[in-house]
Amino acid sequence: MKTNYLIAIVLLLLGTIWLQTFQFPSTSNAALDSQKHSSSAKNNGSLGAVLSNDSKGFARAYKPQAFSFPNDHGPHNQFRSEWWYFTGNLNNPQGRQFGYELTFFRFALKPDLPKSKSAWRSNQMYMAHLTLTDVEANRFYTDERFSRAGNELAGASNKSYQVWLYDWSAKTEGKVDFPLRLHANSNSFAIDMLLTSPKGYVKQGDQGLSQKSPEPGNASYYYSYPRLETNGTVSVGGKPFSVIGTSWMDREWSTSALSNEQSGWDWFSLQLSDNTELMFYQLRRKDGQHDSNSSGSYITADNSKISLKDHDATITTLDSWKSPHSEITYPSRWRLSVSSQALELEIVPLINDQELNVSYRYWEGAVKVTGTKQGKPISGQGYVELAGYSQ
Amino acid sequence: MNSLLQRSSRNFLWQHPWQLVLAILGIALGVAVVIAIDLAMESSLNSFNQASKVYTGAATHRIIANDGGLDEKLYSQLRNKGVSHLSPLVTGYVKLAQAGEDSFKIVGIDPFIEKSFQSGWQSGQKENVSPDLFTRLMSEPNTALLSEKTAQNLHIQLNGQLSLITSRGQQSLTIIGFLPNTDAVSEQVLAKLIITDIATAQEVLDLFGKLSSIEIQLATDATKFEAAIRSMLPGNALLVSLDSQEQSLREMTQAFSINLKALGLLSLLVGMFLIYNTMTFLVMQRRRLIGSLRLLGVTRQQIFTLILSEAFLLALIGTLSGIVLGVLLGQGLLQLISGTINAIYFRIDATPLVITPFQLGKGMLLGMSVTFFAVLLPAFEATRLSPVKVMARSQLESGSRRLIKVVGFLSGFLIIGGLAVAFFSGKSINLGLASIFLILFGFGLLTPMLTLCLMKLIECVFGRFLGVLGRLPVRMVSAEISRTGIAIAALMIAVSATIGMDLMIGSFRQTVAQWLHSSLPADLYVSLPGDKMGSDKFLFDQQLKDKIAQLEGVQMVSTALQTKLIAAGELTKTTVYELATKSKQSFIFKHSMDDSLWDRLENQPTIIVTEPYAYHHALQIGQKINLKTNQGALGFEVIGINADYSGDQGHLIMSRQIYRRYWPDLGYTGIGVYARAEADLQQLESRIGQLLTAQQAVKSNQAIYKASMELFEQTFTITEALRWLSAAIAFVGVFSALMALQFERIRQLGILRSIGITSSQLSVLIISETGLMGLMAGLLAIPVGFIVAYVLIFVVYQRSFGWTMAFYFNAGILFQGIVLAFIAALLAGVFPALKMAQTHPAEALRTE
Repeated sequence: MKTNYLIAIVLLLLGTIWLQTFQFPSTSNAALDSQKHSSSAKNNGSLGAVLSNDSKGFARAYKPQAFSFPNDHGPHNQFRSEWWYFTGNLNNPQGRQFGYELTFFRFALKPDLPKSKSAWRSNQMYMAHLTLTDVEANRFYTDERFSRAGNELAGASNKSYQVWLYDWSAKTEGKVDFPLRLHANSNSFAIDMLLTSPKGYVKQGDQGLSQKSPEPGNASYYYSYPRLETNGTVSVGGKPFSVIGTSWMDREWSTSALSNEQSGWDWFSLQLSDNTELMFYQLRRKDGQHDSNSSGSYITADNSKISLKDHDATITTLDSWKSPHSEITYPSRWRLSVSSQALELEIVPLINDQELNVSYRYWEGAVKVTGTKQGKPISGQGYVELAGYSQ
Repeated sequence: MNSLLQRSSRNFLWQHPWQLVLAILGIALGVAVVIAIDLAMESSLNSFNQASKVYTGAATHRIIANDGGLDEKLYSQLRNKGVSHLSPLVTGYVKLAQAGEDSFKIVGIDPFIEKSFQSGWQSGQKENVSPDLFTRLMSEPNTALLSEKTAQNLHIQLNGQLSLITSRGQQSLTIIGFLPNTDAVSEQVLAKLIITDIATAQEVLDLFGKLSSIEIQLATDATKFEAAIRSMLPGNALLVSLDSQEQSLREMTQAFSINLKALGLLSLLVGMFLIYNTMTFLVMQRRRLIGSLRLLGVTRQQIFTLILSEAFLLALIGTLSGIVLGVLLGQGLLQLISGTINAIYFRIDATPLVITPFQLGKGMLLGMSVTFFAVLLPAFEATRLSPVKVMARSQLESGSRRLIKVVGFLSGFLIIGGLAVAFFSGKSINLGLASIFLILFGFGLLTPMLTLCLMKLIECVFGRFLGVLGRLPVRMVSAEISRTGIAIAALMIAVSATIGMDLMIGSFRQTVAQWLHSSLPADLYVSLPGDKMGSDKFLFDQQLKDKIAQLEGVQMVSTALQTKLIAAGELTKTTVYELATKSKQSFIFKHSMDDSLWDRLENQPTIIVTEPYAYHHALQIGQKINLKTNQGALGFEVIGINADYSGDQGHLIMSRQIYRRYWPDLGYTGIGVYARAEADLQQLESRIGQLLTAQQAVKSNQAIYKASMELFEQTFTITEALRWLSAAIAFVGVFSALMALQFERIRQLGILRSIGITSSQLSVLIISETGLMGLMAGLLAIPVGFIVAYVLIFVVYQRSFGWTMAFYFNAGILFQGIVLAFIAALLAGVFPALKMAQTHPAEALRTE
């Protein structure tokens, strides 16, 4: 779902990688601006000149394609951007709650790799984000890093599930993909987890083709593992906690970009207590109007997918929170209704401050879910991403 | 009362402008030389530091390797094992295609390392250093950043082309942005720098698979981490802290620096004499005035303060102008000093003169304190005696004569002490130089006594023939020994220092020339520069060698590879030889040896070390040095110590056969060609020339000899320049002292005129007195110069550089010394003589 906006992130991220933090309050606008430049194919000498000029030379997603693994776990370098996205909710035996995010992004800076004997010559750039939410301590930790794909510094494999940037990695301990080991550490915190997939994956959108806008090719390839059994260790300040919980993985690659009118999105990935999952993204428009490109899916306990269009779900914001770091006001509590499933959910962040003050600023946090399904109480957990907010 | 005193002082000083100017000049020149040397030396070393900050930023440590370079996989291994805050660098030098430009340093960086390095290229706040620049740098081949000023100078606009000549031929880079420069200093530092992505640098420099270094930013207390990194390094790599690296650079140049600073100090001491002399003159001239003032009730205290405040004023003006002069002079010396450092120590890319308040403060303090020190004696002199005695000069002279005897004993003590310090102070360069100062000073103190003796002798021997006018100059020298003695001493010190250094440099030149002759046994030498890291270089080199060996007229070939190995934890220059029979004779061993040495060198892990290396590391035959081989550390036995004057740090010598057992083949840096007796060398040279690429060159041994001697002369340019500078100060000093002396005697000379001596006779009288003094100084300077040369050669230079050299005597130098002293003194007499000749006797008598 994030697909449309992923492109914007790409632009934003690269455009702001080296900017100072204080410049960020305006970056969401900058993102859209750079998007504008890209769609009007203007070379204004900014980062757009490198990345967003046009998508000429890159592959595009026109029609559904069968996924084959492990090949499609690997990189699709001919597409402009791609990610391996992990989020999860965890508990230690004493009930202490944690949330984490580990994401690897890949950006193709140029469609072609110039021929060179240098192992450093690369057209592929990787970026990774790591966060940890320590609910009891009401603390949120973040870190990010960048590297080119050259000289084995970062990359992904299509022989078996493996993506890494320096010593942060998601790597299978089996033959193809699962069990999958996530390993990443920062100065003050670390995660080390083993993920297994009892439920399998779902293809999002139309058999894995997630259309962003009516224009052909303006789409991504997108599959998710919505429920991954997780156990491992998180460390905070050198203190380890052994944890178990549930993770969600998204894989997505595309070349296309956000449309001009869109300003950002609210994305929900929720795991409910009856072994079902809900993914929904709501696009926001600059003019404040409802965007009809929003969509999602409901995954039943037997792993069959029910696609949701924008009118299938209603999201009401119940509360808001103003970040003391960026002064940006984010929604912080929602009511989400899916009438076709008779689903009424209330979604609350585990802690408010889960804002990533990294090169590209966004809010991505662990949430708690309560509500009813067909009149019966239901609960759950998940992650929410709020992108494109500004002061 | 005070204001009256001050006015009398001011009026008096104004009436003697020449003396004032000379005194100020003395202080100014002395301070200027000291400051200039300090500034130029520090700037040269600093620039090395500063330039690297542009690409090392806040790094604290560095991983380096021997000339094979670091394997780039090491970087990813470290990264993937979780070592963070690393910055990989690929560096090298290229020449611009535009003629007349120096070489530029290419630094290949990874733009996406941690921002905490804050390297020069990272901290760009200028609008044209924007984020996309780094993505362009990485994703577009052959893109580069250049300083804006350099781009302007080369007429390159944004997105313009910069043409380079590399070992692969001509190549061009697109300048996509400008390096930010925050101030004037870093602008100069950036001037010869090209920043590219690491991939581009590898492509341009043909350094595939290799890194030049990995910079690391470690927390202050990270010894555990350091150890962890060390354990991950391969055999040819070394983790060093940048502090210790800077330290070792400083140590490397320390001997050079100390010797220069000693020269600076010599200038200052001569300058000090000048101040002393002027202040004494100013006091002497006012003996009557001071006596009168004392009679009027002015206290000793007030007189003392008066003299000191005059000195303070002179010192202030002199020191301040000395600082200004020093900065200017420093600019000039900078080129010489950095040139020398470039030639014999390490490469410095750009050298802006860095002026710190600390250095200026140091110069200020030095100038002021030297002045005060110099003025203390005259100030005491002025206040010591009672008002009545002060009025009589004879009192002073008889006092001086008593003093001279005491001083004679003291001087003997100093000279013996100096010699003792010279020979019993171990390896200390500072003490070696101090001994020279002691010896010089000792002889200086002895000079008045010797002068008196010699004058007596001259008077006895020649007095009968010369009559009154002949005896007069001799007597005049003796009679005013308190003044003439010091002037002669100062001149003697300056001249003997000159003689000593001349003898030393001459001996050194002779030694080097002989060594060069014997160490260039081949007829032709082929040099093969270019990077040593290219993986296939040795194949090409091997082919070239074979082709040369097969040429008609070639009897045999030898090869050499100059590289760096890690010996005892330090990167150490090493020459790897494949010796031909003839080339073995070129080694001059410092000990007896037999032919089994060559056998061992070829077949066992053994090395020969050069004399400086053995000296600095206190090595003897039979000891072992630990070398880091690609298979781990291994002890190499020292089986020979040979003479070598190619550098003062020394190096190791190893056989190619042994080298290849433990290290990767890096080809050759030189091939020696031995021609058959009947071969036409010129023809052979041109035939070899046809086999070479543009980067390679063939030269005859004469051409190399010539170039080496030129380099030798070049490294001594700075020493020569400073020596002449201190000689010039000495000259000014003697000139002013003698002139002051003559002017002081205006009345006396007036009397001579009035009793019938003609003005031309008077001129002869004055000139012969100063000439006599010059001759005296010159004669004394000969033995002293010899001793100085001896201590310089066998103590200071051996300690500084680890070289032993033979003492070569050169009579011309001695002759030159005497002539120098004589002419200086003679010239100093001309001006007063002319002036006296023009002065009417009555007027001269009235002057006082």
